[in-house]
Amino acid sequence: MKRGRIRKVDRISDLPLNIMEHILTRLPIRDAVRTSVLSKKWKYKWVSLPELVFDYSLQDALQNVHDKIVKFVDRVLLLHRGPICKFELSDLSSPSLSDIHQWISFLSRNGIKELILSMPCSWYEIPSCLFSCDRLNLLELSHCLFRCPPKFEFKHLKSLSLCQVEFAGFTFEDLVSSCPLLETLTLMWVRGFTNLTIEAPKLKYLNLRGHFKDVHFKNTPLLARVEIDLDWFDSNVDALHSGHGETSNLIKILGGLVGVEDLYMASVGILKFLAVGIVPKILPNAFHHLKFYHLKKLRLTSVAFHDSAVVSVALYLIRSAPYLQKLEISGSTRVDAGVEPVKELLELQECLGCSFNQLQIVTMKCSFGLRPELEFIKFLLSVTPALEKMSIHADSKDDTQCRSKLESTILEEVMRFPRVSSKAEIECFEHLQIVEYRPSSWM
Amino acid sequence: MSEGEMAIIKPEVMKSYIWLQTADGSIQQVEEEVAMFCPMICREILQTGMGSSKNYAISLPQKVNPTTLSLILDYCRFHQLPGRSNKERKSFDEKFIRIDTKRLCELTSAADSLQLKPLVDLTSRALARMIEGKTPEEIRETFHLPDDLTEEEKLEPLRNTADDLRIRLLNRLYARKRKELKEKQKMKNVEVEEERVDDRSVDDLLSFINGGDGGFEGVRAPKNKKKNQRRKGHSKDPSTNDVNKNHKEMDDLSSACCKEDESGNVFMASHSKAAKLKVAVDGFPPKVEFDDGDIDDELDPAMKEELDREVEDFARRLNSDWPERMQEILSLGQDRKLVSISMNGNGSLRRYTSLERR
Repeated sequence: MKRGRIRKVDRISDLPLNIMEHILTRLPIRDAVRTSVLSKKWKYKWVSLPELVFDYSLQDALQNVHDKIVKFVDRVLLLHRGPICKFELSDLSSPSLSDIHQWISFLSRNGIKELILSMPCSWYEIPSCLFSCDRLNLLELSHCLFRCPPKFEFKHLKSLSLCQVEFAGFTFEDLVSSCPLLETLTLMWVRGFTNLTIEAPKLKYLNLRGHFKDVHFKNTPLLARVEIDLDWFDSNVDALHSGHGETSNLIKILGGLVGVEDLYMASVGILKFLAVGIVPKILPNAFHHLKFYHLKKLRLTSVAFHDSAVVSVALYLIRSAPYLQKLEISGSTRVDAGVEPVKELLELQECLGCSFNQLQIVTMKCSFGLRPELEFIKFLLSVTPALEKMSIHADSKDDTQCRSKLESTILEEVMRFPRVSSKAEIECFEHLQIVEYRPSSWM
Repeated sequence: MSEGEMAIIKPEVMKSYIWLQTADGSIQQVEEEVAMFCPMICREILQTGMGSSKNYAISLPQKVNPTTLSLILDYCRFHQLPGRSNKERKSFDEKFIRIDTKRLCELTSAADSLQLKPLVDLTSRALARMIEGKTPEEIRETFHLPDDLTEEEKLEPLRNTADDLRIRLLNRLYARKRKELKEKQKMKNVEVEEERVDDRSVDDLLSFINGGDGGFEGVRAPKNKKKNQRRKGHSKDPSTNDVNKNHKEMDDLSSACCKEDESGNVFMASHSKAAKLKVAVDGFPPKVEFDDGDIDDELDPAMKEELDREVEDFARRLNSDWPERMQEILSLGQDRKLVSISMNGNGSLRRYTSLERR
């Protein structure tokens, strides 16, 4: 529709539908719906959007009044035309159980492919109509009770993410076996089981966080990226699992991960868990049959450098990955830790001619100035002939004046460590201490 | 001057160029690697071998005019170099989209027709940023949109509850029907227009509605569907469709139909258009009673238009709420005129007249 003059022509209203969808999808849902008041042509442009995302932006706009948000979602669904491929409800505290039931039941009749329900402030039970959404490709749930019917199948589900979910009436293995095409699995702080057996032939990415006692990779041939953060360490574990190196946790768990390319292991718990049943001095040189030929990137956090068992596990991992290119280690060493155990261990390694030939980039995150960590840095610099960059990120804990003097002397010392690689660059950064969040209400 | 005539062949001459022709006939040449960055051009070159010389220039889609083409080629020229860092690319993109809205829209549509997805994403994002957080007046100002919706319409989708609206609109629907029936009775020589019967199943229609790209394949008339036949005063639930003697119910709406025009707009036909459409006259007056029917006759054209739009919207909603009922309705009775209302992907309405089955 033109106004009188040629200059002011409306060019946007006649853009083709797919471009309109691109534009409207990039708007927060309320703005997209409000375009219906712009002009005649715009009245129904938004009604066929395939993706509906109701997130915190709605909360701001409607001031988080329960009725308003629920009514808005209702009305959007009522006026909407066509299939809804993606539906997301996140960070909204208003919807009640019955609202969610109704919406999911509506969506199950409309060919939903991606469903994200993430409402940290509410707790609800997943309605059974969710299981009739058989086209689901991606499912992300949090803060809910997951109760599956005896026989169900998500034939097309490729990505599953469960955060703070409680399982009732079925096992995790049931769930995984009913998703034959599963490629991405994220489990965070799930309740209802503590032993995991993962049998997922198409799984490529796994992210595990929470309290698990045992993790067993039974059939995961395609698994390439793994992130494990087991925030658990039971002091009784020694009694349960002690044995010879053959049956140590390390072998049991990592045995299933030999094809992995990117491994991330976080928290104190996991390394101690793996260290059970291991004799520190022997480990790094034994079990040469367990090799990670595909491992290119390894990240370990909360490595307690005062504990030689943990350090030996870390060394073992690095040694078993002959093609490792990137290494990232975060230390969490006790301030009063003695340096002897670690120094001994490292010297032994050097004597045995250990060398990490492919390692190119190393990132160390540590507290500034702790000796065991510095020893480790020194060790790394002396066994990495291909090293290109070593970045050291140090936490600054207190701001006493004398600290800066200490810093500069330590920095100088680090710079003077002998390096076997001629092109190695060392960078030092200083950061404020980062505190990691753990959901306290869950424990 | 052919290359063979040159004594020394310099390296620059060996660089290959692609020839492109825009819709207005002008021809440009551009370096091959730049042109190949566009999937559509790349495909043309590889599949048809065109573009290697001036006579065999690749014709670009209509949406690409010369100024837009040079913008696009600038974009391609920058991004096709693999050595650029992400930061460089980002800052180029930010500067690139700082153009007026007119050119931005043209660029978006040209990039889309050349299938240059990264540029489509970039421009869509820019347009979305211009819309986000603004008031309707500001948006209309930015894009020169006409402010052609009535106050009622603007508030309608998000304000009223469904029940009130339906009752009100149904009343208006009856009022309009009665009015237009009166008019028809004035017309003398009317012939029945033949329309093709649409044999598509409900599923086909739905998938067509849902998957429609804004254009109709041909001018096909979907099957006529029964409209709401409720009388005021009877049950308030529109889904209890009282399919009875109201033969002429939909004549008014049929007469108000028009074939879609190119922009996909629906016009509530003015009375003059109604006169053009041919509908069989039947001497049967509807027996519906309502209050606002008489009031409507005294309204000025603007209000009439408004009502027309409301009714049309309402009719659309009812229609698309009842796909399964359509079949039911179609199979009932014979002496009915039905009107179908379907919606294309753009959301505009389309109505067709059709003879009822005899």
